[in-house]
Amino acid sequence: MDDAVRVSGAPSTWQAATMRTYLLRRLGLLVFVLIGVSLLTFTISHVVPADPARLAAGPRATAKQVQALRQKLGLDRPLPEQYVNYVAGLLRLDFGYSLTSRRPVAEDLREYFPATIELALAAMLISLVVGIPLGVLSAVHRDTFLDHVSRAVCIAGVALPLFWLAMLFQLVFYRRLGIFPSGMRIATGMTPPPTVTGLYTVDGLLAGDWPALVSSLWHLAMPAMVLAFASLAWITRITRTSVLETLRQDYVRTARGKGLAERSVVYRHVLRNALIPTVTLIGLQMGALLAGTFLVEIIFSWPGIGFYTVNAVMALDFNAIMGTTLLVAVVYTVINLVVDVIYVALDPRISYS
Amino acid sequence: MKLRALIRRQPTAIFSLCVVVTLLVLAVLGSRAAPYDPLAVDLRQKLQAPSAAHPFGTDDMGRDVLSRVIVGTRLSVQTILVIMVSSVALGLLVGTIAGYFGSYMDEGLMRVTDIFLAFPGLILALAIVAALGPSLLNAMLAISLVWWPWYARMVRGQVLSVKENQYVEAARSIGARHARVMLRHILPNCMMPVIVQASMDMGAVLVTTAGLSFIGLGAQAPTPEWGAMIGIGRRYLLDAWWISTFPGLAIFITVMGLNLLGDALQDVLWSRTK
Amino acid sequence: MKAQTQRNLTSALALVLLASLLLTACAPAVAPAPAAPAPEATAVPAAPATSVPAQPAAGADKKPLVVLIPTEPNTLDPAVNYDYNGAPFLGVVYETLVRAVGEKDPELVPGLAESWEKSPDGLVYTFKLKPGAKFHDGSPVNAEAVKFSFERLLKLGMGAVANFSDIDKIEAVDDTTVRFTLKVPFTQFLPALSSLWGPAIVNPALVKAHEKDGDLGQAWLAENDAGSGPYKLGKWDRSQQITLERDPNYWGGWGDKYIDTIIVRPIGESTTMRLMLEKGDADVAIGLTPEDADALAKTPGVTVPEYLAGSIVEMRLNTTKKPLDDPKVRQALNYSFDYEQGVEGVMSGHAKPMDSIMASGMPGHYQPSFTYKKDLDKAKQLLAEAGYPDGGFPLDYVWISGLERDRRLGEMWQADLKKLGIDLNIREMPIATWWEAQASPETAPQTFMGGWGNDYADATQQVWAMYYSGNWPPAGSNYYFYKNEKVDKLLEAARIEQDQAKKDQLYQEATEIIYTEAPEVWVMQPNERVALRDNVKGYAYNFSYTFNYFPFEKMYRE
Repeated sequence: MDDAVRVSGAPSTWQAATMRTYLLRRLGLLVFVLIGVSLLTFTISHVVPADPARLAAGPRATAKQVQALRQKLGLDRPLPEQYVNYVAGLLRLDFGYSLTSRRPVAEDLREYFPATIELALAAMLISLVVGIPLGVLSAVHRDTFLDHVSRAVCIAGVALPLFWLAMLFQLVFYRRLGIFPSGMRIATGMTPPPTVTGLYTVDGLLAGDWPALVSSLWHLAMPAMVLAFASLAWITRITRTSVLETLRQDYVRTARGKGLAERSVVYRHVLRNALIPTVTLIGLQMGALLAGTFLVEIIFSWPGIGFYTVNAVMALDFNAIMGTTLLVAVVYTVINLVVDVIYVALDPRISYS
Repeated sequence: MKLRALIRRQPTAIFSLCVVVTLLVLAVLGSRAAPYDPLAVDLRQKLQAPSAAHPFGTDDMGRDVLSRVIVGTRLSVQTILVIMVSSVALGLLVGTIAGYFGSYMDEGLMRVTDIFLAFPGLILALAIVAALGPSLLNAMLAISLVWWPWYARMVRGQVLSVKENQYVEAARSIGARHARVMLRHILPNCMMPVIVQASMDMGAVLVTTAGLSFIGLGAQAPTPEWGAMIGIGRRYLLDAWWISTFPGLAIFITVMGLNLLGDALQDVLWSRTK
Repeated sequence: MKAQTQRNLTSALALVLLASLLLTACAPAVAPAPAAPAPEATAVPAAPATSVPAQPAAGADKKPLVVLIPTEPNTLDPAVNYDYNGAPFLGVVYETLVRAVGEKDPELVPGLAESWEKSPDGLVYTFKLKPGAKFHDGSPVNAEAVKFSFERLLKLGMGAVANFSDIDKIEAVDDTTVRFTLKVPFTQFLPALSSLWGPAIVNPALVKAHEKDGDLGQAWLAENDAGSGPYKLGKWDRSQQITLERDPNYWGGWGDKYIDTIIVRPIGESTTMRLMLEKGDADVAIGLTPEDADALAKTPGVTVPEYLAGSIVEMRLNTTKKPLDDPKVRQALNYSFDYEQGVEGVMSGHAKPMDSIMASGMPGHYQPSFTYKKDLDKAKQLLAEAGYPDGGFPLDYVWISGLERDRRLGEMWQADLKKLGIDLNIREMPIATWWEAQASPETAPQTFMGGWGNDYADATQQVWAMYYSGNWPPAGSNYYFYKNEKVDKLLEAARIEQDQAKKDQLYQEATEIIYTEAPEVWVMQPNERVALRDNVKGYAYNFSYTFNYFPFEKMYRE
């Protein structure tokens, strides 16, 4: 999606006091959305044609055993009551039991989610670190070779199916060139560093476990690069467009007119204002990255929630599928809230003086 | 005319137009354009490298990959069209009603879109298809359900600005019914940005469908859908790289062409209205 | 804006060109015979930590053996687990009273029991336990433990319990003597006791100590160890790896060559398994696709031995649904299948067509008087006799998600069926949906491809489970909803017939009837293939355990 179309939420007038109102309004909206999200996931999991009691009981259970289980799981209660129980469970962080791992979905998520966070953050980092400078330089040095390369990257990045790219990377960089490992998070047989955040790289750093840190970085590299491709494209593109727009603005001409060096013009006046749309984009891109991990994780055997969910889909493990969906929705919504607030805080109408 | 002149000065538009025309031609011709029957199984010919007889090689059941890619074009075109039409239609409906009637209707409908938009697209689509059961039809349904909120939002914004126009007020003042006003005065003016946006989204829709099929949630075997083909080819990637590579290339080129077309359309249509 | 888009074109074309160049560069390198990777020691030059860090020269056994399996088990409770995913663990963490050995022609040898006696009427079995046998925590494997384990199995009623439902009571006569009394003189009780699923002896103290809410210790035993075998269950990182650690105090003792630590990793992708084995990041792998296994067989440094396995691939027909309720139609289907292509084309030759209702090489395999072979004319004739001279009916074919082999077999069959005028609708089903559907004859699919592996080395167990009318789903495995009173009587009599000659006669007759009535299409008998790095020694195939079993205690590295 080009220019983020998120109409609701941006305030029309700015005053110091409005910030608080805005925040409260957004938080209220957040709560409402979360309730709606839970309702939606509840609805989806009840549209399922397969009988959840039968699924939980297994293939060998008799009809009587299935019925007993149905009662035990509360599946024969009226729907509104089931929904209330469902939400009550969610608030206790109880997402039900996973059919495949036979333990609470919440536990599974706790185990798999950090891996996805690590991957998504790494990809976002790469996108920003490469994308923003590329976009800026590309805009400042229009129509040079660099500009062409960056625009090619943009077009390609948006058009490439990530799962296909992942396969190609694995083929070329693992099989053919032997640079990166084929998958997983750390070398076989190596113990992961003691869990603080669940991100092997960060934990390795914190524990001073250099072999683990290096190994996990090496394993993170390929999946993160592949995942970063699409959001890199977007960020470069938006940054470039935004910088170009800003460069045309009156106040920039004024600054130039005052005789300030070009570099100063760019880095002091332009950048701050030009990066605002990029900030908004980060929120959207995190959602895209989270979705991207679902396809990329299975190819690299990266044990994150994407990997977990795709396997859960095969087994019709609905508690797992819904648990993940819900978690991702909550995370995505919160990220967007944060980004919106930052966006408002960066609004040029108050920052430019 | 102004349109033609614009196109002549934009080679990108020509490139993407070529891609789209090729797509449509292949879609219409279907299996007639293919050198072999895309479903013809011949295990003795399995996993053959690209050659003169099979420019894209053969897959694990001995079927010609080129033929399957060609026939898959029709599927892709159909998929994109179905999804775009349904999501745009639904978006137009909801957006127009929300924008036109305002107040509670507007709030309510926009909150509903908020809820849908709280999920990253692929993930919600995945959950829906998992619930309904894997099939291309369910995948198309799921993606449409995921995509319409964007358009609803856009349309609503447009409607809000158009609503204030004088001729709308005029129509209302002479007693025209809501439906008539919406249909004849408001809708035509809101369609443009939505259509432009839709054209830019076509690529993303294709990639999402392919992604779902890749996991096994979309088109089922032996349908020659590009995403499904990549999924099957994954097992043979090391020895028969062609099974996944060519469908992937097809997606890549198609999406690029569609994106560039969308961009060009945006240029043309926006510059016209400016 | 316009100049911009012009440049876009150049950039785009440049990229496409670059991409295609890259791909053509890849192409020759990925030809069928892969470039020989460096030997294990120099696996990945640039990456410092992709293989296990260098170990002191204390011998190769200090380095963990990395074993790759397709899926990790749900639970390692031997009374609950009932799939091959559990086999690598159940086989070495737990022990049974008797053990089955042999790459083919299996035989029974003492396990935890050193001797046994069967009463003349075949109802009472008395076992004398080996005096020195101990659990991992040092407590003795005594008669109480055996009694507890079996009573637990029967009470839980899960997993492979159906194989032991003939047990009436278990008595601990004294510390080292156990007596089983059966309800009927089931003749295959001893082989049943050698199975990996069900009859393992668990440590009663541990299980009782970890019982919660009357679950008989299931929750704890799912991921923990209450066994007596040569290896202990170590850490289990879900979806990452399961560690097995050698018990140096194993009561059975050790030779001078062994492996201390075994890491089992569930890798869903055959491609990844293959890459890891090629590079030396793993030592053993099972569950590879035929193509990947073939490629590994050609790779220097890797061997891929192959064995005839006692398992079958069959296409189950729902005998209650028209037109499959007519045996002539079912026979026609049996004549329509291209068995040769199935073996050559789909399995790359690593399987055998079947000649009976059961796997060959298995005790309990009997030869019918004829064999089904692909013969489309005969099929047409049979269809005509049944009233469908030009076919004209659709058939539903279901394959379970993830089993690519079954998808391909279906696609192959579709082409042949078209010639008979039958339309095959190929549908993929996630396994859970299939359970649901299979529970009753009305909802079960018309045909679906599946496989069956033995619980222990005796085909009569399968015959009973699959063809006896009392074993209809959901409780049993008679997926065809087959019912034949004569067969029922034959099977009931045969399973308790003490005289081997009479037994053979009964089973021979039953086999003939079943084969003729064709409640399924007997597709093939696939081989077991294991990929091993050359320096891994001591592996031996065990015909009785069919798939995924490793005699880790006998394996070592040179």
